[in-house]
Amino acid sequence: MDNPFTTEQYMAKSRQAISDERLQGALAGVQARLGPATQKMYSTQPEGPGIRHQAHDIRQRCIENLDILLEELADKVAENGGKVFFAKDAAQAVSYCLEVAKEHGVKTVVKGKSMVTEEVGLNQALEAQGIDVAETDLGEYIIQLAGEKPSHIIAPAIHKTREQVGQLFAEKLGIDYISDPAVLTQAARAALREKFLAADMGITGCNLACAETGHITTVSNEGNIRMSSTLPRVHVAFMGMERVVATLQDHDILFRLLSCGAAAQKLGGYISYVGGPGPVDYPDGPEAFHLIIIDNGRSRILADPAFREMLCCIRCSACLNVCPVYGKIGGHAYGSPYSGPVGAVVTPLLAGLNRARDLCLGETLCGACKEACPVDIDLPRMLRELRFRLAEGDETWEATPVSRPEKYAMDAFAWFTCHPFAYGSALFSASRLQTLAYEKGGPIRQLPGPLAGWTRSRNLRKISSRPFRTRWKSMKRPKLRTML
Amino acid sequence: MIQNHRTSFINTIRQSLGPDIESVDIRRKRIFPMTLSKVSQNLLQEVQSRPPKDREKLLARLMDQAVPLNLHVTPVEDLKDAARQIAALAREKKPEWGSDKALIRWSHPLLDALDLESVLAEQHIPVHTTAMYPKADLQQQKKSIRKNTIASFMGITAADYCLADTATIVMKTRPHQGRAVSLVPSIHVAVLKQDQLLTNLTELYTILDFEKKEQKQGLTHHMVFISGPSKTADIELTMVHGAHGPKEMHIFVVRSC
Ligand code: SF4
Repeated sequence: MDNPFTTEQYMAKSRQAISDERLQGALAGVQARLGPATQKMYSTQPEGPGIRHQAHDIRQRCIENLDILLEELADKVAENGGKVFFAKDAAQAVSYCLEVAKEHGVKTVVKGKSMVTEEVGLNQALEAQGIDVAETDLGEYIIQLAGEKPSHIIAPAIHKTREQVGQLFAEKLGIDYISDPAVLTQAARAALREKFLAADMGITGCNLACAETGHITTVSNEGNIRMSSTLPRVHVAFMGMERVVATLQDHDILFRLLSCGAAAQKLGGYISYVGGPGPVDYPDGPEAFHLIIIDNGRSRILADPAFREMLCCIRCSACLNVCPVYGKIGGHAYGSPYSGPVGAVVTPLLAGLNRARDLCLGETLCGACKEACPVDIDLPRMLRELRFRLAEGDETWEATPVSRPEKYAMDAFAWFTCHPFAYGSALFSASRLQTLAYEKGGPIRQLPGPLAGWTRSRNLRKISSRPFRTRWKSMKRPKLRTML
Repeated sequence: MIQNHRTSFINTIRQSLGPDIESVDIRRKRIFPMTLSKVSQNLLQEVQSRPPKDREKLLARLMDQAVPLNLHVTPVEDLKDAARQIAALAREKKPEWGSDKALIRWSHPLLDALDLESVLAEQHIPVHTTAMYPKADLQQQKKSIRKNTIASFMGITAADYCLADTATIVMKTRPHQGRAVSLVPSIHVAVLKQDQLLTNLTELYTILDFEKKEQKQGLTHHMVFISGPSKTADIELTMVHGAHGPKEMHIFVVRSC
């Protein structure tokens, strides 16, 4: 597979997004609608705005006991007649799912929205076996018909206008062209109802499992995930190994926050707790339930104290809705199902630091994502940490320094700042040299040689002939004692 | 079958957690506290001894919260009243798929008592149930229940609880109570008693966790929360009701029965 994270791709997709006026309008629309509304909802929780910190502590505690929680969950699901499979990587997860499909003679699959199945490339693998896969979340369905990728975690088809959807449906579903969202939704409803009723297997993700009770939970507003987990004979749920909490009490806070963060809602429209298959003497429910718990690089994140916090993420997408970079370049530039600030941190960690390095270099470090995050994850800190590892190189992450010259330059700078005399002399010579190269007055517009990149999009101020260090010495300043 | 990697998977996690973690036993006790905290204890007591006038307030709150969700909440005096109103809905509303009208309902004491079968007999609207008979062929029964559910334009369920703050009904899955009844028909009607109203998720979880009967039963193999009809805003963020699940939802709260 070609690398979707190359600098060229990142630049090209970003440029494309920025020059697409309608997309810019749509992105601004989502952000204006959801960003402030979410913020307001946090402060109206009975616990007050401090609820985000409380949630952070809960998640942190769960992650630190992940071994216990997953074993408890697996035992409970098994007690209820479900099967749990632990997959070290994407390949194991996919081949287990294919095996289940084969065992049950599955020809058609309906899917609820799940990012982790995108992460492991499940759809392609199923289709390669001749299995018909239908995405059933309306947004996902639209982009599946269009052969595109999701551009927002919660609103995957946000980049499509109603007219585009109208044309797409006219072409693919054979209906008359119309651009009314209500009519288009009805058309998708009718088409997908057939799929739901005929499907052999339903595949869903998992928002947040509860270890104590032994259930996974799924949330949707459309009801498509309920359909997928109720009507077909077999239900297979995929979950990233970190998506679990200990008790119902933990769930209480996190669910409220997930709903706020995802859609500025008090509570998602449908929340299902699935603990096992439908017993044989019950009127309905799938006869088999499989839960696939996936590592795929997460244990490496867990092992690094600087990044462990990222596993607290509940994939709500609140950080996308405030991010100035996402707001301009949209989801496609991020090259993975995880876009925005969460993607900028998680994608390099999962796909390789060097491979996806532009994502963490591209964010602004403005800090808006941390304030928006329902579990108060310090994304800006981790972005800086990633940049640090990329600058210095890091063995555990198999990261090599992005730019050796830059690293040497920085090392030299560090040395100079620690040696005042050398620093002073260097500055002095530089201030003399600049008078030779640049005319008087005004900033430096172009640096020579390899430094030219710095001045490509900004000016550099000249070094003052009387630098601050010199002025400081001759300045009248109050005695330290009187200040204290 | 492919080999399951549970042991090595969990070991990897343990290693990743670092050498300083405490023993599983110690951490287990901490992460799954078995005792009821003072706060939960008080809350449980408060819920169990809630005076009628507070229940009336909860009902008012539920009705408020339901409005923006496009969820219709109607208080009714008794079961007869509920049955009459449901019958009226069945008469007025048009089926979405096909032209025949049929209802499907859970087999549940509260719904049995509605006696919709005779109320709707005059209109010749059949009322199916999801009751299962252990002696007969189970697969055959499931098949016909599925067929009836798909053919019905209205599904009628009871509920375990209803949370006023979010207008959410809570349903554990029990025998004779089909999950698809609240999902596949175009209109979902839930009937519940006023004393099933709770304030919010926190109250619900406290009850599920610590109330004796609930504790013993557990969450069952499947539980669902529903807050209003199905909806989507996936096309240009325009809200549309009836994406895949019911387009319309009604809750009848019975004051006395
Ligand atoms: S980082 Fe925070 S805001 Fe972003 S998706 Fe994860 S939980 Fe949501």
